[in-house]
This record gives sequence, C-alpha cells and structure tokens, in this order.
Amino acid sequence: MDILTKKIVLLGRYGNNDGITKLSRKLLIGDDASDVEIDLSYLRWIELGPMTYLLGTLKGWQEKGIQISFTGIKNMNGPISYMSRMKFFSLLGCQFEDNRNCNIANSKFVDYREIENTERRDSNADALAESIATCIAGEQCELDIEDFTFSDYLPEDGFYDSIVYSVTELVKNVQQHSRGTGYIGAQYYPTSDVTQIAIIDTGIGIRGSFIHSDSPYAAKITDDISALKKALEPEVSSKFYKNSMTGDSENAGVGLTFLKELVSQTEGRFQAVSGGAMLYDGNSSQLTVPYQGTYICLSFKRKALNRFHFLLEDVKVKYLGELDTNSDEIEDIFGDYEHENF
Amino acid sequence: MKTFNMRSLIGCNSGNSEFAVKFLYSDVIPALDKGENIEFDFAGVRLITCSFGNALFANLLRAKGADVIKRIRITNSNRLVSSEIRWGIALGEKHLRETGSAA
Repeated sequence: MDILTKKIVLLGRYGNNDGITKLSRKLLIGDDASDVEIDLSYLRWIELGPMTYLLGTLKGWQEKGIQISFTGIKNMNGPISYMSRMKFFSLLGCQFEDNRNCNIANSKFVDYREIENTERRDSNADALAESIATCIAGEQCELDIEDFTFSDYLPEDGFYDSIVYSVTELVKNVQQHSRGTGYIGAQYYPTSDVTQIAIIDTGIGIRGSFIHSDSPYAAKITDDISALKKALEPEVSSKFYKNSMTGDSENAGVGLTFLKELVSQTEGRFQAVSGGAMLYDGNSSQLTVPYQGTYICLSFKRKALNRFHFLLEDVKVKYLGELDTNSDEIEDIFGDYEHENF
Repeated sequence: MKTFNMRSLIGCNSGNSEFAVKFLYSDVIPALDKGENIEFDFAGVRLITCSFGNALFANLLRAKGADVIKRIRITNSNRLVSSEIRWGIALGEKHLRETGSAA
C-alpha cells in the first residue's frame, strides 16, 4: 500500500477568538492520507482552546490509523514549550517533555488529562474535577469526616466549587454522550484573572448522539448547528436511563445550559464545536472542515466566580422556572434527625 | 429507618447521575418498598451537581409520588448540596403536576 504523506504548516498565532476557524481551514487531509507531518516551525502563539482543538483532531486521525509526526519542535520556543508542558506531544506519542510543575511562569495550568470511558470512569470524573480545581484554585481544607460535618454556615469557595462543578459536568457529558475518548486541560491567567477550561472528544458529535440514542429531538434536527443549539436548551438531553424494573428515568439535561449561562454571567466566553457547527458567544458559524466529535471551551473571570453559589441559583430560576423550593413539605425533610413528624 | 452515608457512596463531589439512578433503583426504592424511612446523610459532601440532584430526587418523586418526601430525611448537607436537593424535589413535583401521576 502506498504511503501518502500530507504536510500541514501552522503559521502565526492561534487565539481563542479565531484560532478554531483558522485551524479548520488548515486541517484538511483527504481520505487517502496515511501519514501527516505537522510543521510548527512558524507557530508563534497558540491558546488553550485552539491547542485542544488541534489535539482532538490529531487524536481522531490516529484512531483512524494515520501516523502523526512533527517538525520544528526542537527549538522549544514559546508555544512549543507550552504545548510540551501541557503534554500535547506525549499524548500523541512524541516523547519529549518540559517537566516543569504546574505553578510556574506566573500562571497555573493543568496539563491534558485523558477522560476514561471505561467501567472506572465514575471515579475518573470526580478525581479529574478535584485535581483540576486544586491546581487552578489552590488547596482546599482536608475534611476530617470523623469529627467534622458541614453546616449551612461554613466558609465557601465559589471559585473552587465552580471549577469542580464545571469540570464534572463537562467530563460526564463526554462519558455519557460521546462514545469516544476525551481530553481536558485548564489554564488560569492571574494578570487578566481569566480561567479557561477546554475539553474535546473524538466521539460521534452532538447530532450523532441525538440520533444514536433515538432521541425524540433527532427527527427535528436538520444539521449540526441546530443540534448544537438544541443541546444548549434547558431540559434537553439525548440520554435516558433504561431501567427494567420501573421504566425510564430522565436526565436533567441542564449541564451545558447552566455552564453557558454561568459563563455569560461572569464576563466570560463560551465556545463550542460539533460537526461542522461552531458557536461562539451566541454567534453560530460553519467550519470549513467538520470536526467529528465535540469541543467546548469555557473562559470566565475568577473574581466573578466568588459568587458562584448565588449565580447558580439565578441560573436555575432562569431556566427551570420559579419553582417552590422552600415549601413546608421540602423544609420538613431537612434538619433535626429526630423531628417529631418523622 | 435506613441511613445512607452519601460521602462513602459518592465522595466529596459528585455529578454522577448514572450512579444516582442506579443507587435509586437498587437501594433506595427497595428500602422504601420494605416500609423503611430513609435518611440521606451528606456529611463530608461538598458539592453535587444539578444533574445528580435531579437524577436522585426528581426521579424518586417520579417513581414513588409526591408523598414519598414525608418518608425521607436530609442531614448534614451544606448550602450548595441542599439547594440541589431542593431543586431536584421541586422538579419532581413539577413533573408530577404535569403528568398527573407517578411512573
């Protein structure tokens, strides 16, 4: 069989604003390519979002048997060093790393972690969320559960909780819907007070997930853009839990909706790609080359996330309605263990 | 009365709605069906997501009806966890009002 090598040269700067669009134009290889050489000699800067998108694309090619190689990486200039520290190259089988820790260079970052889609995935999701939040937001107090219990009045850390909440929702989304392998990384920029979390999977995409799960929404979804927009509506999910004893249970279908709104309320930005569709700050566009799986990048201000608990309440009211969460019946289930009516 | 130590079941943080549904049908509902009341002890749990709260509590109401909340007790939950539980129950009640009955 002939080896057909395709060479891709990445030039200049790839920021979150236009980096995905620029990459999409570059990452066109055709069906017959068996080897791809990525030339990074002229890469000047790449932000977390586009780097994650590039990683997902290359991992997807590898899953199809395409060999990936790099040139222009020996000088370890700025973007190459950053990509190396993020473990971009090692995840692609290229073993050279810059083993600095995650709190240097006046910023905090979390190198890419693989999202398991195996029977061990439950602990993987929780562990990922905690480790990413700890690296980005700092250590939290260890709980001594023998002597210590939470009350309504303990100090809260909205930033830490918001990272745990966001990563948990994003990772579970990949595990429940993608049918592929996921990768997640994060970065905190102290100067601008901005946190970014980027996640990508090599799966079937949002439209594919609606179709595969026999969702009632599938028939009404005509393209990737309508699928992406539908997935961001509240109480829409492609996932139902089958249970032989009692029938189906519903998934809330609010994870991505809440994250998008949280980002909006914290001077942040929400970017998503699935198939040929891209959504960025509410504006949709068509990519030159569709991406097979799903990519999401959240950016938000740390300062605004200190009010995470209040923001989350506002988001729930906005999307789930003014439900009575403080009725007498609900109040009765909280509190004194030996309540006389219990 | 049956007490579930949620920290030992889900850890400090959980958005694992798949586990919540499995736990609901394999442990919670069978205990209720035996006539036991249920205590969910959230000591040591820092955070659950809306997806988890809905998967456990909204689906509990969907399966057993609104009166089931008279047979459950929540202890040691912090504000964030309590909020997700409240919303899960309220969503379950909303579902029952819209459909008219438990599953």
